[in-house]
Order: sequence, then structure tokens, then C-alpha cells
Amino acid sequence: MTEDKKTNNKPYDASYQSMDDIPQAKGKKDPFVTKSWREIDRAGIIKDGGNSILYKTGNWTNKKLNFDPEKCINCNLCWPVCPDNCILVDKDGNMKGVDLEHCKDCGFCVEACPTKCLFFTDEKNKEI
Amino acid sequence: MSKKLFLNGADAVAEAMRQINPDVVAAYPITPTTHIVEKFSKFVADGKVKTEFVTVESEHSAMSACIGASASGGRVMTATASQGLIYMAEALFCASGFRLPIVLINGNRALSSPLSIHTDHSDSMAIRDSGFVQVYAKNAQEAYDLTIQAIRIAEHKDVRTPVMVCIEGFQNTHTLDSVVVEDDEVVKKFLGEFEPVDSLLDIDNPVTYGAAVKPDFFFEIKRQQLEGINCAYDVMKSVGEEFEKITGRDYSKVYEEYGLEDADVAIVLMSSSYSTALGVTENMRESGKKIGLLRPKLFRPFPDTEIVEKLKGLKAVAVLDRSMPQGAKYGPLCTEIVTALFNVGKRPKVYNFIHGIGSRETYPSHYDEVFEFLLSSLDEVKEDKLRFLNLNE
Amino acid sequence: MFNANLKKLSQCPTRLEAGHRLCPGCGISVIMRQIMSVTDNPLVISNATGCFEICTGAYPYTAWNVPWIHSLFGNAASVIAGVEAMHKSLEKQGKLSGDQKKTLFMAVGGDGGTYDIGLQALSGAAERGHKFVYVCFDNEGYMNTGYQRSGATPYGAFTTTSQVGEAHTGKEQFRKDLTMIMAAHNIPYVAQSSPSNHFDLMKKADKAFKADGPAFINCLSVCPTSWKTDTQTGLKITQTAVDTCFWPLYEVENGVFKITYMPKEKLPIIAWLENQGRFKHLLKPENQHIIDALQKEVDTRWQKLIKLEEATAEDDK
Repeated sequence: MTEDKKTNNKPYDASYQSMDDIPQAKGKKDPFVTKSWREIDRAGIIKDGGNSILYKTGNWTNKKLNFDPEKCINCNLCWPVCPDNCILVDKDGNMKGVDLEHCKDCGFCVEACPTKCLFFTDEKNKEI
Repeated sequence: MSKKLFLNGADAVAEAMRQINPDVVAAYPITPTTHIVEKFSKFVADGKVKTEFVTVESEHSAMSACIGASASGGRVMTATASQGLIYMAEALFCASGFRLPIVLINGNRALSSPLSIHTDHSDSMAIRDSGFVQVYAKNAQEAYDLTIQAIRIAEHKDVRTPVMVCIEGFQNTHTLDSVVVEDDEVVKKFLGEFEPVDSLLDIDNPVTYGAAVKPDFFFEIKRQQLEGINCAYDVMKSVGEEFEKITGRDYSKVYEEYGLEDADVAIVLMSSSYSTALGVTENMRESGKKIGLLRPKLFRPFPDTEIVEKLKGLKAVAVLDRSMPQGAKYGPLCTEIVTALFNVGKRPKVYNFIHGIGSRETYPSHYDEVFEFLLSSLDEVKEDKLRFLNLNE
Repeated sequence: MFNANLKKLSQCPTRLEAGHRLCPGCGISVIMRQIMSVTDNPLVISNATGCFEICTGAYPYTAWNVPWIHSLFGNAASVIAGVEAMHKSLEKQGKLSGDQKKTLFMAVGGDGGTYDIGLQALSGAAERGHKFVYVCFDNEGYMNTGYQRSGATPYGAFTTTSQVGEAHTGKEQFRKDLTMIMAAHNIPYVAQSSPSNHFDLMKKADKAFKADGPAFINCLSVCPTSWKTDTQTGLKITQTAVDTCFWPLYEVENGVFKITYMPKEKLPIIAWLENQGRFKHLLKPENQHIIDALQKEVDTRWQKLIKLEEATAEDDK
């Protein structure tokens, strides 16, 4: 994804394809490590807020969410209906893709989208 | 300057609470600790404390609000008894699991049914494994002193466990006694400032309390919690030593004893029964009987090492429990004593007596009887069975 | 006036991160994300036991970027009362920073932890006037344990504790109207909303956060797992509940009732029932009387709401 795609408030596809693409995941350590009782978090209190970002939920179904920036009109109607924070918008509130590492393919955004720029494909890449 | 006041147990505890000046108190009234809540409420109304007093609608909500408040980084206290203590039972385990330094004053009162507002230890014994540190006061003075020390014990970095101070309902909460009350500044200095740890109000470092824990981690978290409550044993002694320096009252030991240095037999009991038993022990020792008395102040964690040291050289011991065993072989205190003594090579015979249930009086004559029973057991071992004092057989 | 500009709202801090374990198509996190987006203030949340807490707080992972506490099932409101009390106490003592003083408090729970086991705590906290927002995501059953009936389960619904068989046909009681119960507490703000109408919900969330005292929002939350509904059309199904007036959208601001959404066409209750597997037994002709009874109850409550709106309307001066 290059700089010129971010001009004119046009939607562009900067979807997260892997954990490396996700800014919040950088610098976070996977907490699922065996610890001695002397070192474990007191009372099971978790201090690394939002570390669930490291837990992949995007592989729960065989479907894949696709985003076509050409058809997107930046209406933002997909953003408030995503249960998993997977609709990515930039600092101007314009559409920039989906978080495929966490998208559970529920379809709320597909249903809400007026231009069908969000759609599913199956494992054979056929549109569902 | 410390003052000598004529106070009942409830007022003595309320006075301690006023001096502690907690940030939040969430409490619900219940006989016999209603007066603590009432007295404290008057302090709030008169602006004598900075406390935010939450008049919750039940004891379950009282402990829940205490949990929320304590997790938000401040000093939190509450008071309850009997039914209220059991109503908040699930929240007690939650408070100790979260390692929150809440101090709870429990007015020992019998558990229903049938309803009884009178004294025994069934309430605090029913939740003895809730993870709370449990201390038992024998009179208003001790209730005052232990309430103040409880704050230091609970907040100690090695402990970080809630503490329950047990004072006997009616017998201590409602009877007037002479209590030495320390100066406000002395108490304030002794307690120090509260240092919040992992506070919910620390918005820059958001914490998650109470996530669901899988088998991969739960055992370790609980083992760490066990370490915390066990540390209260040594911490109570060190806090007690500090307390003695500022008040002159000895709290360096987690028990009280009389005559054990040369005794053959002894009675072990807790709380106010000690005072009556002491009178009998002093009299009988004057006529040469080799008897002694032991009163654990700390019940959880159970100070087994010291109790064993004190009792192992004796020939016979009677443990007086103040709650019904409900199907166990012995009452809770006797069970602890017997367990502590089991692996010791040479150990005394232990007999269990249940007394004082629902404020059934235990007169000096009953302690007399128990000592005579113990002394005669030295010639002929008595049957190992549960016995009851002042029960209409 | 609340600015429902989605582009602007999308810039709110992420309080609930992705990677939580809620079922695909669950309404709860949609509700929570919409509600939390309307404010930039620091939030502290107390969560009752249920689907939401167990899926967002799965040690050692937490989806929460804000201070969050889950303790027991019935005490979400009491815990937040304690947090709010400590906040008040520390503020009076001058121990809070400028940002900390702006902290807003939320208690959240499902219908299990709110209509039933947590009702006492909610009622007490509301009566005492703590400044907090209670959000109930009503998915009409104890879903986390596999769909048992709750006080919010609709009349005639199948649940595992109100089964359909020879002797009984689903739940035999009409559901509690918790929003009305909370309105009767005379707290500053009470609302009933739905994530299928995000402008409605966000506007109400804004009012709730700004209320000078306790506020309560009740939201219908689709549960495709237990309602046995198609995942993708979950929000449309939720909207059908609104359009049948089974779940009217209204608010009660200082005692004044206001219906905030009038369906263009009031649909018959069958439109709400027919897409859900948990009601399929009602589509049999021998169970028509149950549908009729349910329709009558929906109509009665809807009429009552309209009358309340008329009766409490503020006079135009």
C-alpha cells in the first residue's frame, strides 16, 4: 500500500493480513507462558491492557471477508456494527480495510453495506 | 495523650474506625454490630471522618462495594455478623481471591435456624476457610487494638489479604468496659499513608480484575494467595511489637497464656470465655493445682508452631469450642489443635467440650469441672467423645 | 446536542480490543462499542458474570484497554457503587488528577445478571444515586450456561429450563419489563434501545453519560447461538423486534416518557418469531393461542407506553 492511495479521502485497502500488520500488537508479549507461583500475576490481575489483540480469531470460519475500495463510498455504516473492531478507519474516519486476523465473518458489515463493497468468499475464492 | 474511656465493644471499634478514617465504608446494619454502623454514621454526619459511607441494601452488596472500593485504591472497612456474614460469603472469597486489604469487623453471633441473636462462633467458623485472616478479641480493648493493627496486617506487602476481627456479639459489643484509646495522631502515624497498588482508578495503567482463569494458571494464583495469608502469622507479630512500642500493650504474641510453664493440664479456648476461665485458673493454681490456660488470638492462619510448643509438654488438654461441629468429630478449634499435635512425638490427650452456644452461660463452676476432669484423666484416660458444658442432657 | 458524526465517533479510543471470544454475530460487543464511542472520558467498567465477561476477560488475555473488574454474578452494580464511592472520596481529598476526575463509571451485565440475580444490587445503587451508567444487554436468557430461561425470556420461548414437550410448551410467563421498573426508580435517565439503530443508541448513551445521577440503558442483544438465527441478519432480526413494538425504543428523562422511534408500519409479532429456531414450535397451528396471547401482551404494553408518553409530556409553554 503506497502513500498515493491515501489521497482525496478515497477508500483504500490497508487490511491487516497478519499479526505483523497490526500496530497495537507490536511490542506486546504473548502472555500464555508457564510461570512459577512466585512470579504469576497477583490475584490473576492482567496489567497488559488489550493484549487479546494477540489472540487470533480470524480463522474461526472458512469464509473470508473481502473489501473492494473501488465500490466503497465511505458512508461508515459498517464501522458501528462490527462486534470485533475489525473495520479499520484512518484518522479522518475514512475506510482503509478490515482486520482479517480477527474478523469472525459474522456478516453484520456485509448486511449493512449499501454498495456491497464488503463481501464473502469461500476457500475456493468463490463469492458467497 | 491516650485516654481511658468507658466504652462498649461496638463503641470501641467505632472509635478505632474513626481514627483509622477509611476512605470508604460500605455497611449494612445487623444485630449485634448495628451500633458500630450507627456510631460511625454519626461521625460521618459530624464531619469527623473523610469517609464516603455507602449505606448498601444488603451485606452481599456491602462486601461487593468494599471490593470495588478497595480495588480502586483506598482504605476500606465494613462490619457485620452472623446472617450478614454468610450472606456475603461468596463475596468474602472474592475479596480474598483479589488480595484486597479490606478490614471486616465481625460480631460473633449464632447462625439461624432457628433464629438467635446471641453469641457463639458459628458464623466466623462457618467461613473459616474464606481466605480472610481471622483474629479473635477477648474484650473491647483488644477489639479496639486489633482493629487498628488489622489495617497494617492487611496492607503489608507480603500479606495483602483481607482481615476479619471477631468480637463477641452482646457479650463484648454491648457490655461496658474500660478501654484505653490512643491519641488520633499516634494512630494516624502508626497506620501511615495508604499506598494503592493496581488501582482501577489508575487510568493510565488499566488493569483487568477477575478474568476467567484456565487450569494452566489457576493453581499458581491460588498458591500465591496461600503464601499471602500464611505470611500474616509473622506480620501480626511484627505489627504487634510496633504497637507495643507506642501503646505499652503487649501484642508481640498471637496467643495469650497463663500458667503453662509448669502445668500438667490446660484449657484452650478463644475470645471472652478466657476472662472467666482465667479467674478460675488463678484460684485453682493457688491451691497447688498444676493447670494452665491458652487463648489463641490468631485463628487463620492457624499458629500451629507456637501452639504445639506451648502444649506438647502437657499431659492432657481440653479444647473448648464455641460452635457446633455439625457432624465433624470435633469442633473447629479442637480440630486445628489435634491436627497441629498429630505428628509430634509425645503429645497430650485432647478432649473437646462445646460451650456457650447461643449465649448459654459457662459459669466458673464449669471451668472448675473441666479442670477437675482433666486432672482425673491423668489417672484414668477418659472416653474420646464430644462433651457439652451446661447443656440440659 | 449530540453530534452523531460517524467519522468523528470512529476516532474514539479503542476500549474493547479485538481478539475477544464472543460468538460471531453476538450483539453484545456491538452494543458496547456503540455506547463507549460517544465519550472520550476515562471509563471504569464493572461486569457481571456471563458471556461478556468470560469472553473478554480470558486470562491471561484481556480485551480491555480500560480498568475493568468482574467479581460475581449479581453484584455488578454494587461493585461500581464502591468504585464510584472511592472516586468521590479521593476526589474530596484532592488525590485525583485532572483526567482522573473525569472518569465515568459503567456497570454492565446480561439479562441474567440484571433482571434476576443482580436486580437487588442495581435497585440499591440506583436508589442511592451513584453516578454510573448501567447497560443491560438483554439476549433473553442465561446464554452463557446454554440458554436457560430468565425473567427476560419471552412468553412461549423454548429454553432448556422451559422446554417444549407433551405437557408444557416453552416459557409460561410473560417477561419482566425491567426498563419500566428502572423508570419507577425515578433516576435521571432510563432508556430502551437497540444496536440495530445505532444513532438511537449512541444518542441515548450520550445522555446517559451526561445524566446527573444513575442512568440505565436496556438493549436487545441478538444471540444467534441460542435464538437459532442466521448470523448475518442478526441486526435486521433485532430491528424486527423494534418494528413489532415487542422492543419499543424509548427514553424516560427525569420522569418524562418519550418514544424515540415510531415504526412506519407496526409489524405483527409473527414477523419477530418466524426467523428464530427457539420459536419454531409456535408456528404449529395448535400453538396459535400462544402467539395470540403474546401479540395481546405486546399490544397492551405498547398502548401503555403511548399513554405514558402522553401523560408525562411536558407542556409547551
